[in-house]
Amino acid sequence: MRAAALEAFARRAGVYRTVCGYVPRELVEALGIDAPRLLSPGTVESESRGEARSGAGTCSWCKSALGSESAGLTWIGGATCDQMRRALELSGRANGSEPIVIHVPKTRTAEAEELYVGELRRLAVELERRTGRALGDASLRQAIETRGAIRNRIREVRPGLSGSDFAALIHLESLLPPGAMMDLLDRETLPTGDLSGIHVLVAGSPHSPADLRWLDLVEESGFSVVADATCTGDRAIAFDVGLEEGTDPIEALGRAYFRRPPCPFVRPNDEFYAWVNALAARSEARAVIWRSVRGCDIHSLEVPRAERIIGLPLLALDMTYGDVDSVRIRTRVEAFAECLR
Amino acid sequence: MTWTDPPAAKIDFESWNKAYSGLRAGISADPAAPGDRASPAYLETPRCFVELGGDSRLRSLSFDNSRAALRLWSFLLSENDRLAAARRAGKKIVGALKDLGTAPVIAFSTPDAVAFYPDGAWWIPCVMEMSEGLLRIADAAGYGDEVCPVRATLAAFLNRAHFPIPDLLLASVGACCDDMSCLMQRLADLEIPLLWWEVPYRGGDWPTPEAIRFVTGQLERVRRAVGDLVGHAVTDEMLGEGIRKANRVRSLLARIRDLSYGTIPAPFPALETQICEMLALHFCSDLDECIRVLVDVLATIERRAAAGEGVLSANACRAVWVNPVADLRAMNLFEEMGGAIAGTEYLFRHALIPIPEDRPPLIALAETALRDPMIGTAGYRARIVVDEARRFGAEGVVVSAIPGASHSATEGLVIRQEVQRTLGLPVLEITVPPLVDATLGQLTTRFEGFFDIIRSRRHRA
Repeated sequence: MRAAALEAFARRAGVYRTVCGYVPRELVEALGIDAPRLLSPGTVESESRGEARSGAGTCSWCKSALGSESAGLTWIGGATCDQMRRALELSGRANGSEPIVIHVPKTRTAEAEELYVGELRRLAVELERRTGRALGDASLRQAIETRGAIRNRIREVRPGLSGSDFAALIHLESLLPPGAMMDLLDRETLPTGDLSGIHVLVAGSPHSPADLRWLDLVEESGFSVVADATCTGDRAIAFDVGLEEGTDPIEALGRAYFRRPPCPFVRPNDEFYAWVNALAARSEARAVIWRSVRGCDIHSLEVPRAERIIGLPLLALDMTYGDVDSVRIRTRVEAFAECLR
Repeated sequence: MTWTDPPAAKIDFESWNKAYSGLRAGISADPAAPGDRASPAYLETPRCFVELGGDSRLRSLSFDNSRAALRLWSFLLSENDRLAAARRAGKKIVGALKDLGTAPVIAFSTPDAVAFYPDGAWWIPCVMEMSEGLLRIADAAGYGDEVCPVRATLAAFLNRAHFPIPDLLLASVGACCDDMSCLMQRLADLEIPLLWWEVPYRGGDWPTPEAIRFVTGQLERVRRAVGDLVGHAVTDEMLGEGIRKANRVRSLLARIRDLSYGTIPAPFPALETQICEMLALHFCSDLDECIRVLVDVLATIERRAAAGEGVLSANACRAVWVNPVADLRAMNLFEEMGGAIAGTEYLFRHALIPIPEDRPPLIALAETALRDPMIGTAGYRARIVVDEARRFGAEGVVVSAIPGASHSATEGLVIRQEVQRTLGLPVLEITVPPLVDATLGQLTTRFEGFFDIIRSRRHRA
């Protein structure tokens, strides 16, 4: 599966990339557009190239994205965290493509939810304008049902997977068109992970393909990653889109994405922690590894609150992509495991 | 006694103290300052702010030598006393966070509330030269050097030693910087009543009708929260009057900016002009007195401009300054090395533009809030900088990055590209920490190099 994920990552798929999990790919795919989620490669090379195109203070994820081959494509993204929306602007400036940016609300009110639904309608209109295609109700319903079925299948197999295999599967879900992903789920026999280690929940910044090595490192150090609260982990599949008869599918999509377990950037972010605590309890996690990429305030500045609210032993790691399987990080993770034995 | 300002000049701390007694008497008696009180209670010798308030950075600064400047500084430095007095008088204290210029207009529309920005605590480590330990406290709370100096705000809430703890916090999120967003989430844990409200991302130069509707609804929530706090509704009429007063401040600032940045030689120094601009945010906690202070400043600048009197050389290198500085000393240094400000973009341009008075007040405030340069693209901010440079004839641009600020990570690049593409002007990017003393040497050299380039371009022209 790891090989399949890397192959999917290297796939050249059209000119669009969706950035961040708050851009529903169903909406884009319903227009017949192949738009994989933009995953930062997570390599030192891409991070260095991206730094030259942005600045030293940019977070490692955004640097790596800006230093990737995807930087030459059209990004469809959300004004989520400050760094990401500025990276969207930089991607457009670098190659003359005009990114599409929707606002992703931070507050949790009914008005904010309406605003988000409105932003998805605006996105649909903009995509229709750019592609010359019309968004049909039936095609959107189909796209929503297919993606829902994929999420459901992944949820079914999730309990037996190792942390890195699960992340690879989520990467595949993020990168492949729905048909190819369904084929893969039908075809592949998914490996069973060793869950005898110390049960740990990982949280923080999203995982890049290179971060699969970091997850391996965690599991080689005596942990079993039984829960993944990143947006490239359990949070990516922990919701359904209700499509009752007569419902406007864009509205259904908007409400579901707005109400899904949120990114910790929402204000207040109580819902995020309520979901994490439930996930930790359900998966019998004994500890948390909270990994922030360098320069990511949204995750690194949450550490003191996360420690207090989750209430489990927590190891906070602040990493560039040069660190994914470094001796320094391995030593810290091993020391954390020893403390828990 | 009626005070007559000496010829315009910049003076050091000791000279300022020597001149104080005469200046104070001048302010007390001069009927030329409209609305002047018999004796502004906040007016103090600068040494007093150092010795009693711990504002030791004043010793290292240079100041404008006018009576109006003394009044401006005293007004600024005495704010906490004013907030404390307001509380003693039974007024409610509203702490506005991040929106920079909108929520306080609502709070000041009722006579029973005053508002201020706790964010302003980011200057405390500078003004008190780190003696207060705020950055150390912030560090211990998990907000280290990787975070913008605004982290001092968190520490000031934790040690409760720098401003009265507000009765209500109005936390503006949406398309704001990550540093403040995270900081506000921490403040929400402190059991101070807090209302989250949102200003969304603005993709183009102008807000969409949907965004205006949304923010109008958000401001309605703010209005209700303030009304609940003071025990009576904040009516449209009250808001209308609040907007008119805020616009009076903004029109005074517009004239001050025009004259200060557009006149050669510069009639007022960079530091004092920056303080004037900052008064647009929350009127330093007293809207009526703020107007009087600015009237005084404007009269001084007009008099100097008419007389061709300036505080800097007529040959100074003229530059647009981008971002406020964490250490006020940096503005002095810029001028000492031969610079003059010819336009600014201090992050809150929306607080300087007139609020429309011909429509329902909350819609007017929403439209103005949505012009915030920080909720749009860096390209939009860059265009403001280019407009300023054109308007005031700038010869270069200084982008003063705020260390650790999420927006500063990438904005400098975009502003540089736009300025060079459209105007071909040199751009200097510097980073100003809360105290520049340790980096004074390199900062001096970089200013020198920047001004050398400007002068050589003059010779070539």
